[in-house]
Amino acid sequence: MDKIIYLDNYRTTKTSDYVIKKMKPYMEENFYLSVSFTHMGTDIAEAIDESTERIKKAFNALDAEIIYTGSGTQANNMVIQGVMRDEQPEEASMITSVIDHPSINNVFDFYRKKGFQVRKIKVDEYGFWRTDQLKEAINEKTKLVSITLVNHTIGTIQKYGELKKIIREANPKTLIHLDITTAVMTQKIDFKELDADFLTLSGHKIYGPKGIGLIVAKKPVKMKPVLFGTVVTSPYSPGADNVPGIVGLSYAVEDAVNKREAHNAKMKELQKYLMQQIEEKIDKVELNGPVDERATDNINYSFRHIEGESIMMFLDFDSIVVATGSACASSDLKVNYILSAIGRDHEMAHGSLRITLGRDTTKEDLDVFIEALIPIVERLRAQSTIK
Amino acid sequence: MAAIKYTKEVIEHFKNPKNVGEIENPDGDAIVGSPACGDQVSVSLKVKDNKIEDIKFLSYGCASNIATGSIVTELAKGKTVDEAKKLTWKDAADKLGGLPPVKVHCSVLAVDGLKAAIEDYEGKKLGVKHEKRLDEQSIIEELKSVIYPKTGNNIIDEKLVKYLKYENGKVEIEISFDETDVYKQNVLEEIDEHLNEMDGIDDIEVKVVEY
Repeated sequence: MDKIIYLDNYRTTKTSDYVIKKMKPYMEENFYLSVSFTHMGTDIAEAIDESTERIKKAFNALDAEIIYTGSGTQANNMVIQGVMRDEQPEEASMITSVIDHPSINNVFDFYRKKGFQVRKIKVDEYGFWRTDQLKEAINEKTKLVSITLVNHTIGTIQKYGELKKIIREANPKTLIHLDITTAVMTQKIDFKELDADFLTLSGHKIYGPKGIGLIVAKKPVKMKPVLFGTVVTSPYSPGADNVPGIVGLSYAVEDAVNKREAHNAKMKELQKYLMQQIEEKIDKVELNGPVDERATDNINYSFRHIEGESIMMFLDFDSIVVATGSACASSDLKVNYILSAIGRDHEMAHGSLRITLGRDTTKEDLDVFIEALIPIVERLRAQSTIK
Repeated sequence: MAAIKYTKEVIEHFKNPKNVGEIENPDGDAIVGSPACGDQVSVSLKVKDNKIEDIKFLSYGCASNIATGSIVTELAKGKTVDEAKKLTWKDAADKLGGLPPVKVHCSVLAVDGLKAAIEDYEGKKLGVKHEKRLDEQSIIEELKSVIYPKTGNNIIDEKLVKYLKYENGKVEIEISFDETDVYKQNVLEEIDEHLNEMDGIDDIEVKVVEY
């Protein structure tokens, strides 16, 4: 098999060797759990405490509560459901946007079904929240606003400061949940500065392990537990701790934060190069999402007249891995809701490719990608019904 | 849901599709589907001595759509018009070593395209009119081309449609889905698309019953 050119880093990243090395002892000799009054058990407790401190330091969140979860999806669910747990439909409302991740969007749908007033703010053609709608939607009943800092499909960096100002001015009691999953690699995350009530993220998107997520919560924590069992490390996440995952996640966070500026500069250069190449060498393409205020590791183009699953599969034959917004490639055959929300028609949404760059991406990889892509687009266009 | 894999036959026909293109001055041609539903197929054909002498297709669609276009045109070539008319999605799928149920929707189009091109030929060259009367039975027949992606069966045989009434240009349908059914929206859009194509329907009301 040829060398794999991996351009799907928003789906997942490869756990770094550095992180694996840090995790390994906790799968081997230090396999125990946090247990009081024993050498083996207190060593583990210390490792968890150190991991927590490492994360707090990296995010400037020294006063925050750190809660480990099974994934980013679980983190989002625990925050939203934990905040809403004891609320009554007629007394509490909640706000997110139409382009947030399903781990937020679908939880909001669940509450809408239960009778809560759920408002999904529309976005403009680049994926930015419409602030006029937010201003109009927020009121004294608004319990929670969930915002994703960097959109997972089109890389839009929300103007969080502006949104926060609107929310805090309209209702200081409204809790802000900020999903930073796709932001950690490229955006500065300073918990104090962000002043959100909850941050959520996932390990496997930042070169950490799969099966671990995180909530950073402002104290006092304004959510209720939704999971019950033996409380070991946190009342919000009972049961046996994923010790290797926690250790691995903490090093992945620290590493991402330490290397962020250099990484971001490299991503920006590669992004600019690939965007130039695509626009220069292939006609009838359109960028989805903003040009500026876009995460440097995200590229998303629609290729007119052709369908994304076909492009994706032909690239796959050449060992190049990307993602598509085509309904054909999704398990539920639905047209991509984010591309619809920014006003793309069906043809544009089906013909979209998401190319997400990572630490291992090189300019040479992008050259191989573009050289493979050109004939694929040509042949599919030649046999398309749409001209 | 587990990740889906195509058979090697599908991959082969996707990579090297047969009969791609458009026939100039065809005896019959048709275009079915739309970018809105994700796929579109056009079929054009030449008939000589009541046999399909040449046939070509174009596709805007995914691998299963392209592969089915390729295999259906291969199967139809050389057959009599009546034989070709009888080709089914299953004939194509079997020849391809099977297709994932979720892909039925995309792949059935090539078969529809072939049938529509033959009807066009019959209409133009032979003067055969395919007039469809509109009643509850014909609506049910039409709904049989709406596929439930989870199983690959149509929504009538799958017994999802619980109630259907047609009166004065208005169709009322009740359809049931499980709360967690991810295909609900897809099926509803398909129903709308199919019924909108039928003359004589002015109003469609679909009620979803969740259980």
